[in-house]
Amino acid sequence: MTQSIPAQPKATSDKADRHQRLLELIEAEDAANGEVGCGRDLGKGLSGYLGTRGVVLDDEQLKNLLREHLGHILMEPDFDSITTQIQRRLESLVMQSVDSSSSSASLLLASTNVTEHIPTKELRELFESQIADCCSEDTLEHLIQWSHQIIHKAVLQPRHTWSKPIWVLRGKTQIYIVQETGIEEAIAKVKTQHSQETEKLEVITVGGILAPDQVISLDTTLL
Amino acid sequence: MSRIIQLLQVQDQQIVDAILTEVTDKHLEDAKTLWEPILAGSGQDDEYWNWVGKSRRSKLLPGDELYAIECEGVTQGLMMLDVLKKRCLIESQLRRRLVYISALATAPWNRPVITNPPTYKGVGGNLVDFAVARSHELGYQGRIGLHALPGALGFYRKLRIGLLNCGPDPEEPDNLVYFETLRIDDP
Repeated sequence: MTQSIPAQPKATSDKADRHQRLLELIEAEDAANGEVGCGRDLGKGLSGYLGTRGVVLDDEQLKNLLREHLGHILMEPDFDSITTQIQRRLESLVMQSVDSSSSSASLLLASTNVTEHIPTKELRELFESQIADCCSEDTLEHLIQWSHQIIHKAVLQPRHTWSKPIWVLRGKTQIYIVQETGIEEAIAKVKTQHSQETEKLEVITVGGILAPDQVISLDTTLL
Repeated sequence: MSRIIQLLQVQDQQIVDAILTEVTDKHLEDAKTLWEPILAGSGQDDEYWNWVGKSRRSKLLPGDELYAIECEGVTQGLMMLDVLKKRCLIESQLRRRLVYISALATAPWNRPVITNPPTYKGVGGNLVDFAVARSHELGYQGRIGLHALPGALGFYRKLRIGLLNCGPDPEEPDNLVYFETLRIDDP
């Protein structure tokens, strides 16, 4: 894909500013002993396999199918989540199928009694049209069953029914834990209930963004 | 089609110029011939990453972009962005567009755990800053998202670009911690 390189922002065009920013970046790197990586570890073999075979689902086609059948129950964030999970599952299945150390038994489902919110026939047609030439019948069948599970889980707990996120904020001397829709509302609630808190509040972390029952984990050094 | 950035050359503590540019075959070749032999058996999280494969795959998917940092003619860092398919997850900016960093890695000789002292510092930070700049250019208000590798949490916490730790992602097979830029002032 062709794209342009963004111009350097004015704020950093000054040499001194750029050096200062470099020092900040180095400080951040040093805090992690030079570890800066991000992204999924696809495991030995899979990344190359995907690179050559191109096992990729078309998000939009899958979302259209979901909208058609579940548009009255679920919303776009649910469709985002479902398609992401199905794509990831596909990658994991392909990895298992190309990894000779994996037993074919591992492809079997733990449970096969899952409500079909979308007819299996339609899911199969969609998957077959995109990935059948690079997946075994076992893999395809597993993906279909797994998709039913993912969709069913989303139907049971649609995103719009989740509780408000929990924000962990740090003031000069206090840590505040607030349940609110957004950060501005969370800060406002702290200021209302703790009028002595006049300093700027820093967001340490937030829970309940990625899952409705997410546990918040805080490094003790942050407290 | 490229921009000059600065790195710290650790050996003599000099700030040197480097180039951040779109990935070319030369960069991918460096990753294969120079990086992979060092990473093999290192136990690093990206030990099995295949940047040639990522590049091929990016050509199949709309919105995938690859960039490299080059210094002294050698590839010092690589990054893959998804500028189209990912959306914000934080409630107050839910489904707004962002630039998602699909993969980011520095050359093995820039990692103290492999080569101490490292050759250059600042590679990873410059790549992340570029992702933010790309987000601004696309009209995404600088929002980015990423799943940090376990050893890099401290780095993303300290970058000073407004990245919010959203905790381990249960939808990720490895439960990697998800970070997203939180923009408070935007409408």
